[in-house]
Amino acid sequence: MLRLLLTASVVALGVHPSRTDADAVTGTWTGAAQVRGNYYWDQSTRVLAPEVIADLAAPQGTRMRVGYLVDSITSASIAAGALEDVRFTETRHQVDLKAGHELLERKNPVDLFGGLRFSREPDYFSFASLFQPTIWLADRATMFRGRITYLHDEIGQNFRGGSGQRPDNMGGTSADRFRETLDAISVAVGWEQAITPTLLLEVGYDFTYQWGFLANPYRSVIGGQRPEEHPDQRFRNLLFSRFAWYIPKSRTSLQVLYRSYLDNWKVSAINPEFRIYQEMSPFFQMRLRYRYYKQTGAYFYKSNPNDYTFRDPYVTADPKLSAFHVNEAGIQLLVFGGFLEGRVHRSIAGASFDISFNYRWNTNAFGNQVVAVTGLRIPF
Amino acid sequence: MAANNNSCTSHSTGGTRASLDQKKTSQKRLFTPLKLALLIALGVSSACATVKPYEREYLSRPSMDRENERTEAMFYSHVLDAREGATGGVGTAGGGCGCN
Repeated sequence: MLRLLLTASVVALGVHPSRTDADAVTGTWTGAAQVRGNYYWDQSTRVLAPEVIADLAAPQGTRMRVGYLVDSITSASIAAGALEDVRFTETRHQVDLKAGHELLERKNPVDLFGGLRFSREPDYFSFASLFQPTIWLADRATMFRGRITYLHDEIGQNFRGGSGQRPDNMGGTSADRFRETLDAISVAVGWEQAITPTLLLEVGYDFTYQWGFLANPYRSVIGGQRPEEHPDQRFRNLLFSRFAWYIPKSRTSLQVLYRSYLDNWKVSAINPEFRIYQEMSPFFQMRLRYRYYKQTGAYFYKSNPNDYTFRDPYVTADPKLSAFHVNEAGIQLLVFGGFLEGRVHRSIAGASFDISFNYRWNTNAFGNQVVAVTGLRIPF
Repeated sequence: MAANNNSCTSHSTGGTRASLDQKKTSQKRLFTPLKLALLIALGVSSACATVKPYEREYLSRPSMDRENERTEAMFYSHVLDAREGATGGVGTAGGGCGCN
């Protein structure tokens, strides 16, 4: 009864079911609760996003996750709707519901996983659904995964500062109600292979088709006289791979990740990343990473937004459609509570705590950025 | 005029041949890595059957399993969606941060 109450309360709070250990023999339900803090900073925007996640696993192989994130954005960016040089703060609420079931009795186990995500803020609503089947072959040495995702966004405007009203040059009067939609379908396939007892290879391909309003409702060009206008379709192709090597002698994991990207806006990118995971003790791990990202500009991008004319079919003031590159370095510390075994409650001894800090040297108008994440996971 | 046409035709025929050759060469260039990738994939998949469950102790270390970083990666992906042009497509939720 107590376990049932605990389970219900965790679900009600909003819960992470990735690594739980339900026991099919005893019929025991298990789970984990996570509290996370996410932070982002650049010269015009700060984001604080606390998050609560709960995971539950049933003895028969079904698992569930409920997550709630509240995103507090403080910005003076025109792209976020600031009318003048003032900072404003707004919040975004996001709820994730996910469930999966693994068919263990098969010779080649199959996992069926799906989820829904809802996100709301004053000027934006987003809904996403996901279905992800996975099959393991050769005693789980080989894994094939598929994923299909559908996204529907509803985009509005909410000008902050000054009059708070929509400027007339945004294509109408301030009395006009701006409402646009954006939809996307993404299909991805992935293959993960254990090559040797210490080598793992993963490759995949992701295709995304987006249609609808793909511009930003606040940005404009030609001195604010013309709203941003992007093509209303985008086809994105992404190839990704990961090579991971574990060195038992030093308890080190070396990983190389590589992504290449191409879309019909002529944006192409390469993105290699190197990671070193070092187990300092059975309870303490450090991760160091270096990531390089380089992209070409979209075919309609101009470095000076005032160089556009009213006859140009597409105009943009989006820095992420320019040609730029990013150098990024990060460190993560991960502590497992196992060293407290026998001294505290078993949930605390089974807990883990992680904290990471990443700095991005970025060459476009967004400037340099900081991403920091911390989290505490307690199993029950 | 006819001469011009002829020269034009012969030139364009030569051009067509050249472009066909070029196309074949570029196709070969494209398919060579694909063939190579396919061979590696076949080789790897046949070799990997030898990795038995009891041999995967190291592969199941927390550092080798990306699932352990999935939650951390979600917020990070959201940041990349908003700040890089070559990521996401479906991962973005929310527009107040200027994600579009």
